[in-house]
Amino acid sequence: MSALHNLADGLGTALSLTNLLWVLVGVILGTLVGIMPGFGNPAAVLALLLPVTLRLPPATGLIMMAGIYHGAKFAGATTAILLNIPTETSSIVLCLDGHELAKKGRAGPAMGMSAVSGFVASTVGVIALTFLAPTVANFAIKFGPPEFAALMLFGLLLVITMTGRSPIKGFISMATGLLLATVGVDLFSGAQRYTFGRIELFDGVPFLVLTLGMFAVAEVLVNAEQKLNAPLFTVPRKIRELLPSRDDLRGCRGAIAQGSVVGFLIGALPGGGSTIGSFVSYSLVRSTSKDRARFGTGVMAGVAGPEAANNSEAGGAMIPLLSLGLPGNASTAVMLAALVLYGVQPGPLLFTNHPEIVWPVIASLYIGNVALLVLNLPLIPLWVRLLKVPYWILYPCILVLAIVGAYSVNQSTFDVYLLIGFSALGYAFRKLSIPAAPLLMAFVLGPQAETALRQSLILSNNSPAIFFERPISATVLACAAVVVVLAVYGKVRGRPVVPAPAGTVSVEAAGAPPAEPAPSSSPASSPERSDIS
Amino acid sequence: MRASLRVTAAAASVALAATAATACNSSNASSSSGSTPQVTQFVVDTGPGGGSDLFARQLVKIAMSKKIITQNWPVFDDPNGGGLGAMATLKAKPGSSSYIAAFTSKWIIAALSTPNTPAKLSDLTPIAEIADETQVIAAPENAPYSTMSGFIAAARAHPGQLVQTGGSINSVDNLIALEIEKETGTKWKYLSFDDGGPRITALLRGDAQIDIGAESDFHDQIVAHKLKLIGIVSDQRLAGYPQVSTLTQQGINLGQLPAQLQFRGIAGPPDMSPSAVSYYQGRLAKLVKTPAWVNYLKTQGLTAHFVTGAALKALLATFTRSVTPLVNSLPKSG
Repeated sequence: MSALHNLADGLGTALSLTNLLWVLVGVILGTLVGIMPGFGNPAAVLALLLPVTLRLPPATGLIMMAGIYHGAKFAGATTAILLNIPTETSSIVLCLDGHELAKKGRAGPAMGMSAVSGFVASTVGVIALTFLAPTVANFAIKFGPPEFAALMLFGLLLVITMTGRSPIKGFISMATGLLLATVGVDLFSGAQRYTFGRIELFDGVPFLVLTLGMFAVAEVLVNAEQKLNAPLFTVPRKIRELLPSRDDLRGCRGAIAQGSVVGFLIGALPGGGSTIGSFVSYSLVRSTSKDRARFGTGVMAGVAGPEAANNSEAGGAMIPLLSLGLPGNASTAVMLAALVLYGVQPGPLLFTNHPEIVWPVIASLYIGNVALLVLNLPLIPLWVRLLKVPYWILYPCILVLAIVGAYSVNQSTFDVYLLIGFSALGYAFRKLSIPAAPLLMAFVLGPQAETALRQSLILSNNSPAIFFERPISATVLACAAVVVVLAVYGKVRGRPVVPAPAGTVSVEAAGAPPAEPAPSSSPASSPERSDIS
Repeated sequence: MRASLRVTAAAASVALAATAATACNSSNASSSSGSTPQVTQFVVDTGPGGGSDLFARQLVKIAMSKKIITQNWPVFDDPNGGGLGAMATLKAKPGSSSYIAAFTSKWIIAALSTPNTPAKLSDLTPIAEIADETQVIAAPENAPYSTMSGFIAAARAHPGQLVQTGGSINSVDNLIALEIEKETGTKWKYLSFDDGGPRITALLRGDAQIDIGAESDFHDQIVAHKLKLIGIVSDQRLAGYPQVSTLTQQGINLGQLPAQLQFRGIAGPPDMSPSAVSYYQGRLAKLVKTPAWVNYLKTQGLTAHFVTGAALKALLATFTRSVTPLVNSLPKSG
């Protein structure tokens, strides 16, 4: 029980008035950064704030950073749900069901669900971090290139199963994403791929520029030509409709639990990260759901699962950072830098040598999340009112933010031209009803899949047997096979119910907010369900 | 309604102010070219939070706090092409005294391995070398050998089977490996990862047998008895590891490669005026003597080397000459 004792001590330290003040500052700052792409990504803000945080005592500085990290995550979810703009890679999945919910007038419940499931998941994440850190750290070390390759295959399968009504269009979108992902200098051979000799393209296409073009600007273009007079969204008036109902919460219990576990485990892998966690969680929630055909048209569980994974990842990501000294993603990399500048060398001995830093950090992660919940639930009505802003104010603002955001990634005008190009591509996709989400997912997963595959084949001297010989990789592949079987089974069974493709559902189609489906709507699917989670 | 309007308006004005501010900065900076620069833009080759970015910010912070400089040197991140973008930015400001950049030895390799490179380090005006990061070779604690020569014997017994983990094919650690393979007539595999973390886990997992990097990359794993050092790629042993011999002492010839392989320095645009060069050299010479800076280098695993003038030119030329044949032996890019 010494872990519990230490956590209590940590909470005691973290709960000082000064620290609470700084965690508030961090959460607010992180939310602002996440809302406005022009401010840059959270990692950049953390880096810029390093000199400020270094004036604070180590625990206080790191607590504020944890606040920024959480705040930015929730803000990414907010823009994805309300405006269909994922400012963080981990919020791409929310554009599928979250934004559809917003179009149906359920933006408030979707955001509330994101906050609640995030809160539950980080609780799970912190508890797991407290008790399981050494065990999970050992598991994380065993996760090498073949295991990653299997996981990426799993992720890409999800992209294929999500292609909506037209598999061909989904495939076009995914292939475009994979193609865009190849741009840049190849790590293994040093070869330039599709760079056209421009050094701006040597490090690939910036994710933020691609998303802003494909989602934000394309959304503005399409809407501006269609509905200049009609309101874009149905915005409910009653306050009760702004928060998730009891039915919503009950229907999402399984999704939240599953997302918390998946997110934590994937977050603990060095190089894992919340994006893959949220993809895998969405895939699992969808393929184990009784009515997977309705996913992509605004299903609450499609928000709850990935958001849970996205948030419990923060607890998981601390494991490689604190127990191995290895950052799992960009934000934890900056926290690693801060630890080093404070004179604390993270590594296998950090837990024993510096408990006065580790436990307040773990506790502050949790406090950051509570602060987020307390701050944001009351603010949801305010956020939702953003949808009432008339288009002639909202759209120019989005365009300005998009251009400033694209420029600020590398402070390069070349990226602004790229943004214009991707906006045209995004507009064409909308006009041709090609879903944009598979493109973005393939863009994120593609390079990681390629890297892991090539690393595995280097290790095995080009023998694919390595994927089946290593137990973890074989297990992940088996899970992927089950998902494929379920997806095919679902397609065959779900024929009568035609799912609408993501991003093209007209607003008028959804009048009353639909409740979660009754459990009886699709019988005889229980045997397979237990295999996965 | 009113409230949200205000929010959006505020957002837009912030955005506009931001664009205006950057525009002002660049016009101010390029207009001044006297001997004591009015504004100094400090260009680095990584994004915020990257190695060079933190290095530059720390340098400015210490120089400001010790009153070595009175005005802030804003750091400008140009991460395009791992140094190529930063070099091109400086090359486009010939004669200006308002731009400096934090270069590393990687910039020389990046330009050599890119046929259509927009700029080379030799296009710029070198101001000073500041520090060098001694490269060491690490292996898992339970490896059957405790020297690099032991690893080479194992590699000879199993040609093309052992694995070294590292970064991109153009990185310094791969060039060191290529030189050793050439000199000893052995061959092993090179496993690229774009982050440092997975390289360490590859060693711990047993997927890879060695990794070449800085002592600080491995320090804590060594203290925890997970990794050990099996050789120092330098002409001197490392303080704190008296029992680990250098490669030369182990009888491994490094051919043309110089003792300093992973160095950091400061350069200015082409044709920077001698008065501006000596201004910056003066500031840096003061900085490197401060205890705060010495302490910072120590936490980063860097060794202080303050080299200027002809000695610096010779150092850069030697490095370029010795890595050129190695880079040329890599598959051609572009």
